[in-house]
Amino acid sequence: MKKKLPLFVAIFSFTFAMAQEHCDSAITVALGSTTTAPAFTNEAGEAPTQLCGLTNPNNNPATKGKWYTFTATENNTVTVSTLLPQNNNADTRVIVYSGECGALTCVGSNDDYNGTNSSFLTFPITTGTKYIIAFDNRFSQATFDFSLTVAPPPAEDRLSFTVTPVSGIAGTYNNCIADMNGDYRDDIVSAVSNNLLVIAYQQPDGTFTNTDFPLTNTVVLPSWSIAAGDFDNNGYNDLIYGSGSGVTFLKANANGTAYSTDRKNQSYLVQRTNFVDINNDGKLDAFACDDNAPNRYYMNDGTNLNHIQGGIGDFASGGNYASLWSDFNNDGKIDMHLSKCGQGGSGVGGNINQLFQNNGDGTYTNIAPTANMADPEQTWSSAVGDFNNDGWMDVIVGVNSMSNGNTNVKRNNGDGTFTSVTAGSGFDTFNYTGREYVAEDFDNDGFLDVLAAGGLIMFGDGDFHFTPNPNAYPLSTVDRPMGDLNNDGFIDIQSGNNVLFNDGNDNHWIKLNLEGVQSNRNGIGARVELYGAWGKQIRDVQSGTGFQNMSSINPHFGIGAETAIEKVIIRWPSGTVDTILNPSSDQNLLVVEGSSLLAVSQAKNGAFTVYPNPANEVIHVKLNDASTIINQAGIYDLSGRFISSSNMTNETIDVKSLATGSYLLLLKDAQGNTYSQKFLKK
Amino acid sequence: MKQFYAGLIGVLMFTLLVISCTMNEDDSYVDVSDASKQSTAVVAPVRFDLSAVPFPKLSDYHFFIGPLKNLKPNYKVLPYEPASVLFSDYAHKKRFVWMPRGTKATYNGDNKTLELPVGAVLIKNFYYDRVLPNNTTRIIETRLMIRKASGWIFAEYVWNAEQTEAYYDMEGSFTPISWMDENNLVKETNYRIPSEAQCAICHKRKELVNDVEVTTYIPIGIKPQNLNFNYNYGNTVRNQLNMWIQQGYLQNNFSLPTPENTIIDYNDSSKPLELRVRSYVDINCSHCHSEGRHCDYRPMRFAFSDTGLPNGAGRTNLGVCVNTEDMQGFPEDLGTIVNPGSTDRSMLYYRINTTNETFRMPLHGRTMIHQEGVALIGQWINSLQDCP
Repeated sequence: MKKKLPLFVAIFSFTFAMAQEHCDSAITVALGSTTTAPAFTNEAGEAPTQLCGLTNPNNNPATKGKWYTFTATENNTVTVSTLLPQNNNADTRVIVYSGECGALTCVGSNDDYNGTNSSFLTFPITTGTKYIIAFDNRFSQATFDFSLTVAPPPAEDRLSFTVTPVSGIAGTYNNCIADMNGDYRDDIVSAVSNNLLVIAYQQPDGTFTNTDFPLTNTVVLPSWSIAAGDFDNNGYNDLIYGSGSGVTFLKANANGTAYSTDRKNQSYLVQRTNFVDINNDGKLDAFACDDNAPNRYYMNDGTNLNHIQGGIGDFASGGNYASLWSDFNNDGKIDMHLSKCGQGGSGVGGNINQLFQNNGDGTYTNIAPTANMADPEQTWSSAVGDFNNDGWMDVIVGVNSMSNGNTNVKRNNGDGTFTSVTAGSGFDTFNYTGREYVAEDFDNDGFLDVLAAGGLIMFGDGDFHFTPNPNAYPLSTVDRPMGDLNNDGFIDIQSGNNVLFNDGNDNHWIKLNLEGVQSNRNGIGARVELYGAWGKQIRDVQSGTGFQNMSSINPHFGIGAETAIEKVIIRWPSGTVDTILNPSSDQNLLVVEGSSLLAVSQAKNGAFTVYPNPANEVIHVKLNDASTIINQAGIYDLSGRFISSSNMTNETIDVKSLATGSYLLLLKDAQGNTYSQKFLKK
Repeated sequence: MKQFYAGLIGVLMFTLLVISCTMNEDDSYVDVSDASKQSTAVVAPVRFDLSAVPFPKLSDYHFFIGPLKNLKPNYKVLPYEPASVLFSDYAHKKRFVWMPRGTKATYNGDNKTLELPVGAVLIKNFYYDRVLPNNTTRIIETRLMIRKASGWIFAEYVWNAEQTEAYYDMEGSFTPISWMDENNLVKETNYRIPSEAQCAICHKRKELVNDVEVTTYIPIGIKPQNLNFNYNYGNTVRNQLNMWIQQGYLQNNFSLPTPENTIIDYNDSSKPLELRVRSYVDINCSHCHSEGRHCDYRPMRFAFSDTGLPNGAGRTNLGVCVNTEDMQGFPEDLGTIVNPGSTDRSMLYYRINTTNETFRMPLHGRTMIHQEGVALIGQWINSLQDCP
């Protein structure tokens, strides 16, 4: 008996000491308590394998774990922390789950809190829910204390997102959101390998259906950037991969059921890629920033994309990081802001940003010095948009290193110059650096925000003041394309295998689904204007924003509490202007180029003449092509406001009741073509 | 102009005379000239015309005698090697220097590239041994840097499959290769032959010329600190700097670098660990991570002379306890460039231990992981105790 006692004691103490080693024997801790976790050294416990966002450096996993649990007795917010003085900066990391061992659900995780080796995680708790707190020995075997305390509730999110994994997101390079099957719903593209593309197609019910596309060897993957656009105008978007060794194009077939590979043999370090109609011939070309030499582009001759180097950003040693295409001088032609970085010290000039003005003849001129846009900063991308809704595209110049200055907010003065309005903008105290800066109205308040570094959205107020969300969003710093992934009019953000679905608010919105006819099919380069009680908002249709991601092509506007939209004007690259009067809010508005009643098509203006002009009682319409059958006619004022409709009798329209002034007569034929002509009422 | 040529010829003749004498007295590095003397066959001298280079073919220069692929240097084509060498996907390299007669390099400082005369050529051949399937040697490319009056230019020559010729090609390309390494393991890579722009990435620097900052191109390896060791020339073993002086290739007006100013072979495990690391990062990293170089907007200063500074400044230049300033897409543990005692928490280790091209360092010139380099850096990081 005496011999057995020590054995019994040994077993007892062994069991006691080891309780925290396994999930199913997790030790209960009380709210408001501090617990000492013994050293891992003599334990043999189970390491947590579900890391909830943590990673194992060099792929070496932890080998042991410590498990604690508590059950919430009220709804509250709590903090688990090893940031305690007695720990002397002990190296810990923590993962919190809900649920049962074997079927755990991630609540959160933390490592290296605020630059320390400690862990500190605040999370909400719900009455009756059991929580599991796990630590592992990835970094240290030593003992440590941790506390579990009631936390002050976090500041309320200005806008919240629900993080949901989407199963179709695959591989490493999956940062591309674009409609890939012609239904205008945003899909998610994953370039899985040289031989495999996976597309998660968004369904009407909000689910995703995945399709694998076997590929002929693409040779490269979009390791630096990706862009989507329909360069053969067949209704299905194509892709460009930008890699460390040049580009590969993937072209969709006639019904979007297969992709053919066009690997270009120029080998260079690619940065931002875009689809853009550089020479405005109605066919998308592709642009590729070269990190180490003058930029490249691939001109579309209708059959091939032909490589050209030189002409648009020719700094000899490159430093070209992001080409951002927008019409900065409102001349109807797309220009380009070139974000530049590095290259042998700032003094050499490789980091001086450039602004290319489209001369309209296929050539571009750098006007940055006179426009006050030759900022010598370390810029990988910039957010382009009309942040103050004055009808001119502004630029928030992002930085990826503060060695030559911080984020720079540049207001477009509308006279060919820009002025830095960083002071007081909120970006003057924004001490983050990053690759990705993109403009979007996330909260649909009618003012553009910036998806910026630090996992933050900087919410704009329409007057160059930006406020970060009080809590950082769980966002990849680099892979974070945007789009409307549940078609609810609030822009979502993809971050790796998760989508941050925008929880939205009461604000209203409208999205445009564009179909170019004379212009490129996507309408890339089109200017969209939205008029209402807010005045005017503008968007330019783009492929390839920020540094490396592809975000939805569909233009999106928030309109705050308003519901009435006076009109939408689409100024297509071809020169055609479509005006849609009084569209409903909270809808996806499909506009086919030249199809709106108010379309002013340059190509068709010569279709008829009116006389007399000026007119007094009636106007007569003389059709140039007698076979045209007109079945609708409308009269509008020159700002596009609808005045009256008319049935033509013997090609004559009664205008007696019109006030004196200039008017637009629009005719629509049986085929849906529209024709317009100005006339004067005496 | 005529006077210049007359003078040049005079100098050349004198040089020839001196060299002849030297060679008669000394049997070091004379295999070529010996061969030419002993053979009745006429060996064409190196052919060089500053206005006509780069030539279309490597053989046009006559840098090598006999079958081109033997890389047997012609008269006055002098082999050299830096003490620590750049990792290039395990390619082997043979390097040579040639200068026009009567011209020589000047010393500019232990840590500065030797100032080579107009007309000088650096010749660097990249090859693999035991290449599969037939266990052969394959030379892939020969990179020349030629000093023109206006500065250095690059001339890239790509070898044909028959290994009989290499052709001028500045476009850059890839070629797959697999070989058996020293441990009889099969290694393979899609070897990258650089384009002209890629040459410039590492070989360019910012320079003040008449108070104006300009970009110029410079060689990297030929610094006194890198050449200051005994090299086996075949018939003799001699300090390379002395050899250059003796060959008339270098002005004899400086003292050899001190041991503190001399880079060592990072593979030499008998040498102090940190000295090996400093030698490694100098040749592999400092061409971009130095003031005025490609990536000087990051805080590292990896040049040997910068990492050797006293009072912790050298370690700070190595990134010890320095914030990475660039945490995009990286695990949160990598907030420090070098975290003493923890490779897991050191961005430097992470960056050299990955092939993902958006993260890997060096970004250019390698696609494989340099296992021995990673082991060296890891050993050093683990040996560090404290912040400087």
